[in-house]
Amino acid sequence: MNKTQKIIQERVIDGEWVGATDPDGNPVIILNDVPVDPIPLAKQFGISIKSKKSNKYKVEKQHADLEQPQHSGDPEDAGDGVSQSEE
Amino acid sequence: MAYIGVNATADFVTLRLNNSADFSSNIAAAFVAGESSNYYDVPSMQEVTVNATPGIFRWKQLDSLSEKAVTTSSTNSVALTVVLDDTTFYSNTGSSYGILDTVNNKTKTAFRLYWSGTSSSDRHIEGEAYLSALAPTVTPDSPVWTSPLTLEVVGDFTPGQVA
Repeated sequence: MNKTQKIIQERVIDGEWVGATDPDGNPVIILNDVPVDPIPLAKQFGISIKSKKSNKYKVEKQHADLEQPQHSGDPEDAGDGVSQSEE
Repeated sequence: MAYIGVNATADFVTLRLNNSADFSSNIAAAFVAGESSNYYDVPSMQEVTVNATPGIFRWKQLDSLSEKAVTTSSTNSVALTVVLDDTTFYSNTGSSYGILDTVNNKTKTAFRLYWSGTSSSDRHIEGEAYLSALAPTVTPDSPVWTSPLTLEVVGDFTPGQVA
């Protein structure tokens, strides 16, 4: 099992995505600093993602989408979106 | 139990710096995607040592056969050796100073050390530090400039994890 497969497996519970999402609510994983859609990757590994809903934490859009920095001023929304309480 | 390996491309150690602003109130904000033009990764590291050492005050008592001890403030630092890279040594990255100017100007720098890769679930520690102990050296037998570098941490290391 490679690292990507392990990440996806850990974040799909009973077909539901429990990992990070982008601001639009779509599942996202970070691979070498780059936000990536995990759904096609999951298919390759034979993992089905039925639900896209997750509010665990949010990941900013890809760098190319960021014309303006999207700082909200709220520490919970900053960084990788992981607060200490979630760890 | 799982060891933290760094012997694969996806598991390399990354040290990221951003001194474009004062991030003391929210260090994680220094490394969001919107700051990607201001932070940079220290390239070509040869070794990294994380030092987290609580101070200890010891004393002896006449009614005890062994010393007593209490902790005092910790001294935290990150020591590394790097092969000097012309770009990150001399040039600014966005609004962040390069390594030389950061040392010269004594600029406090937000840092994040990824232990093993920069993908989801990968762990890191972050904080603020002053860069010090820069001592570039070159010899006939090792004709590439290398230098030690120490991040003298201001306050705590804060652990975190990539989303």
